[in-house]
Order: sequence, then C-alpha cells, then structure tokens
Amino acid sequence: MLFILLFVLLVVLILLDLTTGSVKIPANRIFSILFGANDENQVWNTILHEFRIPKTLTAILAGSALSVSGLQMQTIFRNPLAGPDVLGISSGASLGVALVILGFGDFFSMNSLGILSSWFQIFAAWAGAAAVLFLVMFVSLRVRDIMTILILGILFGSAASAFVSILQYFSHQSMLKAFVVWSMGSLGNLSGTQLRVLGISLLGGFALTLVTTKVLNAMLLGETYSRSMGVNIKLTRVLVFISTSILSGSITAFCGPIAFVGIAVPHLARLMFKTADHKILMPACILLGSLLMILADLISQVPGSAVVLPINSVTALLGIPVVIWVVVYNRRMVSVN
Amino acid sequence: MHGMGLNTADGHTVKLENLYIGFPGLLPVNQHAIYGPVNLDIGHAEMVGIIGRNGIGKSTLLRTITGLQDQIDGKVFFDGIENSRIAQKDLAKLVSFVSTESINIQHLRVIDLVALGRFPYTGWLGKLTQVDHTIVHEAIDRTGLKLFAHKPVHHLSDGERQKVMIARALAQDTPVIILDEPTAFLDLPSRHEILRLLNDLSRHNKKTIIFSTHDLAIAMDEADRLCLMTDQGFFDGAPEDLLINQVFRKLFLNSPVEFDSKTYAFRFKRELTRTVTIHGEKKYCSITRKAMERIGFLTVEEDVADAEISIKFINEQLCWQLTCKETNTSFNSVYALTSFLKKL
Repeated sequence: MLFILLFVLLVVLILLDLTTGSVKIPANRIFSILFGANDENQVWNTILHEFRIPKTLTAILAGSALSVSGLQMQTIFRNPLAGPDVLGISSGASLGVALVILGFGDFFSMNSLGILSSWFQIFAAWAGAAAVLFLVMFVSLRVRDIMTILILGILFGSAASAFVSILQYFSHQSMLKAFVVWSMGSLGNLSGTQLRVLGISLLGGFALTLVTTKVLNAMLLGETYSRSMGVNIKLTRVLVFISTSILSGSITAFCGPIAFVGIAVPHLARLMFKTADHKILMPACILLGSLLMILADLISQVPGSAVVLPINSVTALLGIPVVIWVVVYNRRMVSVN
Repeated sequence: MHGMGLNTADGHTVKLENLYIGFPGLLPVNQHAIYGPVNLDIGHAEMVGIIGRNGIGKSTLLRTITGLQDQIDGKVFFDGIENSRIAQKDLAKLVSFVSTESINIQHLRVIDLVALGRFPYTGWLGKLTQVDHTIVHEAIDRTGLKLFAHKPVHHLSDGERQKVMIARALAQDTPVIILDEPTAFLDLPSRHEILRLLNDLSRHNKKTIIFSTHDLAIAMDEADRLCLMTDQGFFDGAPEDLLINQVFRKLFLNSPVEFDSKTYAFRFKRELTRTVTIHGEKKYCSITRKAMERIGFLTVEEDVADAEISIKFINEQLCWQLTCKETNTSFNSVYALTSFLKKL
C-alpha cells in the first residue's frame, strides 16, 4: 500500500522534474515526446532526449544506489551513522579524479580530449574506489572486530582526502576550479552511453545486494549470533563491500560525491515501513532514494529562476535534518554493546 | 511437545577432551591458552551450569564449544564427531547460542527476531515455510511470549528480551543450547524464571543446556550439574556432590569472599573484633546474631563477652535488653540496638 503511494509520488515528481528547466516546454508536449512522438520543435526534442531524461534517470540511479549502499553499511557496521562513504570508497574515487584533473591536467588540456576526458575521469574514480576497497578487504579478512574495520575505513578515507588536499595546494587555479566543480556533484553531465554503462554496473551491484538480503537480516543481531546461525562472516563482508563499492563508487565516478542521501534514506525507510526486514527495506530504499534525489534535483534548479545549485549541497541540506533527528530522538536505533 | 514442530532430540552428547581454550592470535606464536585442560562428558538432555570468577574463561569456554572461536588444543565432540569435521552450516543445526549482548533493534518485532533462528533451514531469500512458522510459534509459546509476539523488541524489559533470545535459540531447533550468563542484568524473579525455563526445556524438550552464571544459589536449585572453573582446576558434579566434597571453598580462594554452606551463597569474610552473648527465643537469637555480625560482634556462649543481649516480650512488645559496661539499655527494634552499639 505504502509502496504504491510512494510509487505514484515518484511518477509525479519525475514528470515535474522533466518539466522544470531554463527552457519552458508545455506539459502536453512533454508527454507526447515521452511517448515517442517527434515534436515539430526540434530544440524541445533535443532538450528532453539529450538533457532532461538522462538527468532524471541519473537521479533515480544515484538515489537508489546510494540509499541501498547506506542501508548495507548501517546493518553490517550496526551503526546508525554509517553511510556509503564509511569505507572511504568515495574518498578513494575523489583521489582518483584529483590525480587526473590536478596531477595530469598540466600535460594535456582536458578540453582537447573531449568526451574521452570524462571517460578518463570515470575510470580514475573507479580505480581510486577499487584501491580503497582492496585495502579494506585486505584488512577485513584479517581483523575480527567490525569496529576496527569501520575506524580503518574512515582513516583510509581521511588519508585519501589528505592526498587530495596536497594535490589541490600545488595545482593551477583553472584545474582547481575544475576539481572543485566536480566535487560539488552533478547529475546532468552524462551522455547516453555513459548512462548505459552506469546502469549496467549498478545492475551488478544490485544483484549482489539481492544475494545478501537474507544474511543482512541475520547480521542485525551482530556477528556472534550470525556466526552461531551458520553465517560465513568473511564471505558476507566481501560480498557486501564489493556490492557497496560498485554502487557508491560508480555513482561517485559518474556524478561526483553526493552526500547524506545514503545515511538519511535508510532511516526514512525504517520509519515509514516500521520494519527491520531487508526484504522490505531494500525496495523501500530504492523508491525513497529515487524520490529524495529527484526532489533534490528539483530544488537545485531553483524553480522560477535560471540559477542551478550544486546537487551535493542540496542533498546535504535535505539529509542533515534526518540525521539530526536520528541522533537526537532515535539513539536506540541500533545499539551496539 | 507434539506435532511437526520442535524436535525432541535423542542421544545428543557433548564431550570435551583435554580442551585448552584461549585467544587464537594472528600468528601461532601469539596463541596462548587461558584455561585448561577441561575434560567433561555431558549427557543427553543434561542442564550444566558453569561457575567461576570473572575473567577465568567461562565465556571463552562456551564460545569454543559453540564453534565461535577455535580451541588452542584438545578436542570437542558432538555425538562422537570432532567439531573440526563439522561444517559451520551443520554445526548451526547442532548448537545454538545466546550471548550476553543486549539486542535492541528498532522496528524488529519479537516474532521476526525469533524467526531469524530459522536461518540455517531457509532458502536464499530467507522465506519461511509453513513448518518454519509452526516452529517459530511453538518457540514463542514455550517461552511464554505469546502476548508480546507482535511487539517491537525495544519495548520489552531485559528479562523478556532474554526470553526472546532463548526463543530464537529454540527456533534454531538444535539439540544443544549454550547460554552465556543468561541471568546477568536481570532482577531476582526474572533470574529464577529464566533458569526454571531452561530446566524445563532440558527435562521436557530433551535439550542439552550449558550455561554460565554467577547466581550460584539459583543454579544449585535448577542445574543437574555444576562445573567449577578455578585456578586450582576444573571440578564438576551434581551441586550436592560439590557441597559434600566442599569444592565451593576453592572457588574464591585467596579472596576476601567465603562460601556459606548454610545459604549456598558467597559472602564477604568479616572481621569480628568484639564479642556478645545473646539469650532468648531461638528464632530471634539467630536474627539478632546476623545483625551483630554485620557490626563486628562475634556471638559467643560464655559470659565473658563485651556485651550481653536478652530478648524478651514486655507487655507483648518484643524488646532487646542490652547490658554493656554495667549499664542497662532497652530497645524495641534491631535497628535501634545496632545504631546504639555502633556508637560505642
């Protein structure tokens, strides 16, 4: 019932998102273009097909991937403040991008590479995320205590950020600006091919998520109980970490860092569906994550003006109240002894 | 129990042979045993309590038997099969575990938490079959949680939550259930209730139950067998055998605590520096004697004591008459008497 309600709300927001933008396109024309008609106004066709639809799809992918990844992290670390970036994955991705933009930017102009430069950035981000993932995996196969992994993940992330700062300090103004713009996040820079690549890689991440649903329910009771019920802890960690890296690493690679969606949405899902069952929370996170991300995109376009705010700041401003509410009122969300 | 639900296990035994327990380090050199050797043969449907001071290794022993950590040396057998030859998945159908951890998860209902016990039996998505549902409901009924089944666990009291964790272990449907300090953090009635429940499960559901506790008196009432982990060695037997052999004295050797064989409890050794004689009706004498020990008076028979108390009824009112340093004082409550004596 709640699922249907949220789904309807999502459809409404998607349509609203498609109609919002600096160029006004009448709603009935948008409908007809959506259903395959070729509008006589070619500019409107192009705007919808090349910009608005890919951006809305990206918002849906980003919102759902980050939320599911956040849910996995909160359960496996039994910590209400865990999010997709606790393992340092996004910081690793940032380091990769910083190396490309700031480190090698001097050797060739980004503009001369054209479309290739954005692919280069994406692969650098993936490589950075993977490097941190392998570090975390290496540790997690040797360390028994999950809290140690959490702390090490945060430290790896901080180390990566420190390297980024050093790179920033020594780089040229124009490169610095390019990197800062990247770090503010963006949903609108994806080409059709890139969107397809993002979609396919996320599919892999979501498939792994599905496999870990049952185990994550057991992990609610902590690792001692899970082991006593026959859960292979190390295999679980590996699967969950890989899936979370694919989900949050890919989003960071294609859209830049997007904060707080991953922490806030799982709490909203628990609150609305009043359950701890991952079989329900997973689809709930996908729906609510998409909803929140499209809402953030709508807000970032500041309806009625030509200004566009950085998406990372909007999601932070939307997500932080939820996190504050969790900290102040729901300290018993997940208790760890 | 009846029907298709909880199995009554037959012939399941646990055997510990020259077992050394400890913390397996990253390197073999780092491994060191904290306790051993333990030799123990636990019969089918026995209820065994493990007693010992904090830090001696009760939890480690229980975790080792459950397979949550490896032994340093020696062997653990289930029905004659060594535990290293049993896969983790299969072990989860033989032994279930209840830890000291308090589980406090929002939006998790009792029935859903208990259902997690079906984990080793369900498919890859964890969907419950009709049989699973029946077993979960039986586990909830058995632990007296029927009224709480649909409540979220974080609304329950500590004692109720402990029962939920026991119900989860029952749903796991293992012949052996291991519990680490199931009575810790509970109030007195809940402690009795939990150990009574365990006793019941061992007798009627034929579960083999191994638990650790500090509640010696209750454990002596309910357990078939007690194991004492002391620095002098590992002792086991029926609680009464241990009493007869005076084993309990070894438990807190070289500590300021001693075993009182009258109350089956440990208490602080007292330094009694002054003496008192008490006359009167027997039941009032022994009560007064207890109060006197608290404030440092040893009760003696002779008349050479520092103080003399006679208890009698005056005008149907119980009265303590104290003769001390050739003065007579009369009190109408133990409290008044001890308050006066403490000031002397």
